[in-house]
Amino acid sequence: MIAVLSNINIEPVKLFFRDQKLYFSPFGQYRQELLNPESPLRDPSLKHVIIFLDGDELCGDALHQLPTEAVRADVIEEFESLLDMIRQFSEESGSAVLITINTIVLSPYRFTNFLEVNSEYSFRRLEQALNDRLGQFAATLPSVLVLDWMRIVNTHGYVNLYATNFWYQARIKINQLGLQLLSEACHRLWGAVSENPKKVLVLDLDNTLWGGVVGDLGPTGITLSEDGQGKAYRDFQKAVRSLMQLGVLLAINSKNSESIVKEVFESNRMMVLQYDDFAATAVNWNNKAENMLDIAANLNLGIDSFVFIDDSQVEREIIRSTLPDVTVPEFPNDPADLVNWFQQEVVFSYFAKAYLTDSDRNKTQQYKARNKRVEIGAKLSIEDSIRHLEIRLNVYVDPQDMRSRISQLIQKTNQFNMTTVRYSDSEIESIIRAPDRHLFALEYEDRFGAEGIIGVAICGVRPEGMHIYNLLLSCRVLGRTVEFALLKSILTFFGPDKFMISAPFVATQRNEAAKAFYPGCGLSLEENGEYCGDSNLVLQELDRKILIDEVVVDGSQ
Amino acid sequence: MARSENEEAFLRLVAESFGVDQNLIALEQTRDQLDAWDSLNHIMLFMALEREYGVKFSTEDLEEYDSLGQIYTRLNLG
Repeated sequence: MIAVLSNINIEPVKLFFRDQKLYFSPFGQYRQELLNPESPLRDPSLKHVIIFLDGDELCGDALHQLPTEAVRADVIEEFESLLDMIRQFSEESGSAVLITINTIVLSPYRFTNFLEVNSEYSFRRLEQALNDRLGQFAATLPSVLVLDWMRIVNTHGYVNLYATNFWYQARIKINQLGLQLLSEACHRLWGAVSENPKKVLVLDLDNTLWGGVVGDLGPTGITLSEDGQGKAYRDFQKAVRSLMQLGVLLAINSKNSESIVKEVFESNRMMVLQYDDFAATAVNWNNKAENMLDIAANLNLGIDSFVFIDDSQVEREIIRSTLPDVTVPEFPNDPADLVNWFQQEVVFSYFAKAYLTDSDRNKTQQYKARNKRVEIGAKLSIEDSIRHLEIRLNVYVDPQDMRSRISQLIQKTNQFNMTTVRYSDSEIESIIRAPDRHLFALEYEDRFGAEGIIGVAICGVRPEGMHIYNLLLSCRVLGRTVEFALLKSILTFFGPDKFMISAPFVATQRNEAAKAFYPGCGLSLEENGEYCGDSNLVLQELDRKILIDEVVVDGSQ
Repeated sequence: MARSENEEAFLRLVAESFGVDQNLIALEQTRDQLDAWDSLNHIMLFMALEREYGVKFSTEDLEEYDSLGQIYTRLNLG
């Protein structure tokens, strides 16, 4: 049962507590109820007492006197006596009953007008003194919580939440919107106390903690600065970092090369977050769901205490569909909204706390100290999550009309690029025209939309078989078996008879992501430095890996 | 005769405010025919109407209105 005591009529709030048993103190008797041993407040099923105090009613006729220090002191003394009653009730009812009291709000306009902020004759000072006193009071009693009604009124506006037309007839002051916000705030506050709050904030990096893709732009080329959009990301990092002080653990789950990410933390002076701030990191080219379980194992925490932030809708959907226990909020489109979105939709929704312990304050260090793996109960099917995306690929052979996009990909792709040879436009042109060489352009689409051309391969016929001059893929589609499907369509194009494949790999500072690709296809490194293998064996290996059913080559399946 | 969308929405709001099934509510009803229409639910109904339809009722309105049809007409929903 929830008991509601108030100096005004707020009974219509019951609309927003439909599933709970509510008791309202008779009008004007909220003080007596606290002390009366026969009151329903002594009912053993009582879990919550909401004490809603209207500021104007609390002050009464003092509001019509010039608020000298003496006038203010009288009101505060009266308030103290009410708090004493609440203290007595709380001591009697013990920890089983949670008492929620609102911060006091006075109506904004009164005869003192400019005096309010220009002189000592200020009701605002009185309001402040009452709330300071309330805060001190609540800090001494573990089962008393303060609900910040003042912040709600400041956010939505007094005139939008209060109305006088029901006041004279029914002593109702707060309109339906106000009562709804009040009830929501109660539930949030109680949730923060009783439910298990989230413990870990897992973050993506590219276009989440900074703008752009570090693998392409380099550690100092990313958008992160003291002005423009870069500042939005920097401010977001500050907001994220402040959460550590509440005992929230930070973790990274990013598709990137770990070396380049570490370089960002070491060399980009605009970074607010430090690598050490993260209790766990998973920076690699694995599926993010797999990484999430690794992070959970490292921290020895259940994934139900995780909140995952990623700008990519596809990555968010992969986590939602494979690991439904992880909380995955949406992500704002405009970086300018990042901080407000984060405070309201993430911090307030999942990490709000009513108390803070000393142990909360150095959680990250505690967790970094331990690093043991545990059995994870969750059954993961990465395969299912990729199939769930309903990926459709189109492979165009020697296309005539995509020159500029192909050229752009060849010039810009650094990470998943086998040789990083930058072909010029005229070279691309001649490859497309040559009878013994072919250019394959890969188009990607999934249930969230089309990505357009995201991969290119250049292959040729040699006496000993087929040669892959280069193969590259935009890194945003990695981890979904797209690269394997591309190679398979190329082999099928040159098939059906068995032939030898040869393919060079040239390591650069940025293409670590591509290093494992050829070996993963069943090709082995020969003495001449090229990866080689038999097309049939490679096809078998690819079929084991590919999770994409819809691949169309030049219009035919 | 089938009810209009406006009427359906209005009756749904009345039912929610009164905490009763919507099938028990009709435009023809007056305050003395409905047990659920007590003084608190009376206020709750007008609070809900103000929010939903963006109108403001005066103290006089609150005293005067005692049938659903009358309120419906005042809101220009018919």
